[in-house]
Amino acid sequence: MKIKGLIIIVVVICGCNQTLVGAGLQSGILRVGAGKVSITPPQQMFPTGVEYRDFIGVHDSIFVRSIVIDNGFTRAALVSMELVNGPDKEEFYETLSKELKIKPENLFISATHSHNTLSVHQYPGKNADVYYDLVKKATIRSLKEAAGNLRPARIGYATGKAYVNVNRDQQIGAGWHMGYNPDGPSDKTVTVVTFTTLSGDPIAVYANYPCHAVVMYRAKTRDGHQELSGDLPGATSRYIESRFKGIVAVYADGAAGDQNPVFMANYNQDAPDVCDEGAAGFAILDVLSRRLGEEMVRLIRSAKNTSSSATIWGKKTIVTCPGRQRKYPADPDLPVGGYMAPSVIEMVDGEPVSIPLHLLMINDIAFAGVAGDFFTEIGMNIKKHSRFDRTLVVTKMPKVEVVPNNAGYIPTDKAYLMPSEKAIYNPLKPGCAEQSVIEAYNNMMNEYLNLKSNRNQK
Amino acid sequence: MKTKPTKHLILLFIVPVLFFVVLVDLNGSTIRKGTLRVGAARECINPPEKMFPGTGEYQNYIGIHDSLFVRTIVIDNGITRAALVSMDMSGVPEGGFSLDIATATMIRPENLFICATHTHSGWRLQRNDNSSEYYDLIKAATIKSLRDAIGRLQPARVGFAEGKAYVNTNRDEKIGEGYHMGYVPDGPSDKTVAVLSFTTHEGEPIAIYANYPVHAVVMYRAKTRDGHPEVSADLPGATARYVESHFKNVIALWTSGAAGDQNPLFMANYNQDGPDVFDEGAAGYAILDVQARRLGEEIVRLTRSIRNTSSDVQIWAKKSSVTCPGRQRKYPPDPNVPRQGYLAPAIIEMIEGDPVTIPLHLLMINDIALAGVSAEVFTEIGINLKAQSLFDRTIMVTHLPEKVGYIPTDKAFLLPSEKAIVNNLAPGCAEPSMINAFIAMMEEYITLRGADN
Repeated sequence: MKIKGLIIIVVVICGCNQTLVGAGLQSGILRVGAGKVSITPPQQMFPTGVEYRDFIGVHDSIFVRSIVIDNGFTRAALVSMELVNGPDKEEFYETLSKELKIKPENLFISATHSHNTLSVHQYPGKNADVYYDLVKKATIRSLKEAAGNLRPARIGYATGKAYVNVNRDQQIGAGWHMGYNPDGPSDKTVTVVTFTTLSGDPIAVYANYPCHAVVMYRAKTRDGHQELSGDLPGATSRYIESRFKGIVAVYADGAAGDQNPVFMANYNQDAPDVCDEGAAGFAILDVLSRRLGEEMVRLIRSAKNTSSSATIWGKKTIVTCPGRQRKYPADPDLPVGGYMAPSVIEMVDGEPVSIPLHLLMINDIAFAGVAGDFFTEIGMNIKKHSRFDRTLVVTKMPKVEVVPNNAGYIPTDKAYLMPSEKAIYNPLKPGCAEQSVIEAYNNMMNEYLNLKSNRNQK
Repeated sequence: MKTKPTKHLILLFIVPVLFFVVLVDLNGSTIRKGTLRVGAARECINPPEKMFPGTGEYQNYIGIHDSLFVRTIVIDNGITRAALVSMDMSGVPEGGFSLDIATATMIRPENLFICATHTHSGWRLQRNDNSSEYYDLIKAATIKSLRDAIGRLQPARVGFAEGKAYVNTNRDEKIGEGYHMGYVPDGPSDKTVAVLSFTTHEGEPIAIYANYPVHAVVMYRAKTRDGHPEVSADLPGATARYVESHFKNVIALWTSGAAGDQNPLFMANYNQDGPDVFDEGAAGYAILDVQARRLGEEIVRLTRSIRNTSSDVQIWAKKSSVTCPGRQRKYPPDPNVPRQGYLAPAIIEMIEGDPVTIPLHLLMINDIALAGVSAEVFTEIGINLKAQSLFDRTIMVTHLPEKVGYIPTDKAFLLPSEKAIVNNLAPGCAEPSMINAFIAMMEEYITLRGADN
């Protein structure tokens, strides 16, 4: 009994000491928990009746997955939602923040961008509200499940490569469209941030890869209709989760604005010889996700230099760039996805465009998030110019209604010269975004380094 | 009227020229150019219904998914006739098959350039099985296809192009204790697609001879119907069909390049040698389809891109061989060890064995060199042959008749690759010997055609 009491006193003193020393930014003993809750829409919401997303039912369930990390001073969460995009209401994120007592800047949320799901607001009529509630409750539950499972943990990091993505800016007919450009720019980097128990058993993994989740997009897999699916991110998470007992695999998309899977069930979707492989396309999804999952599993097992203490810090900012709008052709539906799309679009000055950025630091691991879709070379350049070797770029963070004119695709300046289908009528003017976001991330990283440095000096 | 001294002068000039021409013809020591005519045809070589189901662990086929063909192109310049043949089979039938075909079609054996696509989902003839009904069917179909091609000979032009396709991958992966058939995306891999096109004078394609280094194993081991596999021409067949569907009346021959260590990027029987093997079943045909489309698209693009074609051609062929020191296994003595599998032992003791003779075959059409090998050649040997060849336009074609097995690089013996560890060839000989032999044949061709060039 006396010995136990002594240990408790020592631990308390140790904790107080850390608090006193780390006035701005404290390092503390890492605890981690993870949760996973289904956000599969109920049967009565089918068929969904949206073009290219007229789902007749569920092929594979979709989830919200969460990792809560806590160092005794700061609590943060990494969340991934298997949706095209996360909810756009600020209220959604405020509620999460309040319910979990996690500051908004420490709530790092992204969508997997699976095109075989619908965003909450895309459901017609009352279903939008029904699904909003379902997703909100599931996300809160997932986070609470994670927070309820907090246990001493170690964090690790590893990168590798997977060859299941490909540049998609192909010249088809009169313009550049979504196709197959195997010699084009493509970041093959797979990044995993691992969270294990002190004895090395995986608790959770945060896995990142730049690829559009469109393997099954437009494929008619049942009775001439499409089915709801978590697509590549969902299948990859399932693969990882089947390889480790109790692990939650949170998949986050990288800079995939110009990256498609190397094969899709709806082959050559924008070319004249499109071919729908139908339900057999799920075999294509399976082999692609296995290959990506295998690399993630290998990396999880390879992570060696792990740490049981952590400094956690998050910050949000917004970069604003000059904008533009289309003058000709006036019809906003042109160019449509198709090989006959006009290759000349006339753009004039428009409203400035906001690019919301989010940086979450865990020790020297930088999670560089953006509410938008970077082209792959921007992601590569963010990593190249980052203050931290261990930087991962996460896209499809929430676009909330309160941010004016939020960016969508963020092309490289080179892509404007083609012009890429996603650059030709982009509301962002070329010449600003890439340089500005790199500078903004580095400013936030400098701030973090200063705060850490102050702590260390004290 | 010419004066007598002038006549004498003319005679003085003509006689030696005639004498030279006669001498050259008698010795057969020059290769003449002639106007190119080309014909092409194909014949189905499906096994008859009564042969099903097949036997063997991976060949117990329940039926046919897609038809097998023998495809032929006959080229003729008025002086020499040659034929290019590709068969949707694991290997060209043995036991004098090629000689029988040559005799029946009156094409000289050295001008009959015949290979198999090496589909692993084709019907396998037993070694030297030249007495079965199926052997007869294949022989008759090949002869008919060649005769049809001869009957369709028409004035033509020949062209060449190279591009790239990303549907193959190195397969020497370390799984468990040894290197086995797996997935090594950063390993050596020749992505070159080569296309030899034969068109009418108006530019309409008659036939395409396409070459790419990949094993035809997308559907290998996949159980696609009622727990059984089905006969399929696999990637070569699906690619040929794709190409043929994009041109009117074209015959598309698919040939394998140096694919001894190259598998398709994705297979229906995923991770066949790994611990987590998974069979996609019939849905695997979607995996076959998308890879064939991608390869076919590149072949179609290349065919359409060809500009510098020729209607006057020299045709020349020669067969040769190289003999290398051989070896045989001492330990483990059981020839079924190592088996395919991730727990195969990594150490095998080999001792000296009989020498191994590798048949080679060179067919030249102008400056286009078809370098054929009766073996399964590792990809870097193909790359090196093309790098050292005397002709920019060189294609390595494998799976010619009387195959000797795999020919690994010396580097592959060091891994050791699954196909090197028990290989009958001693390392250090095959690659340089084959390349030197091809170069020697090319030098002979260059010397012989000197008069016309």
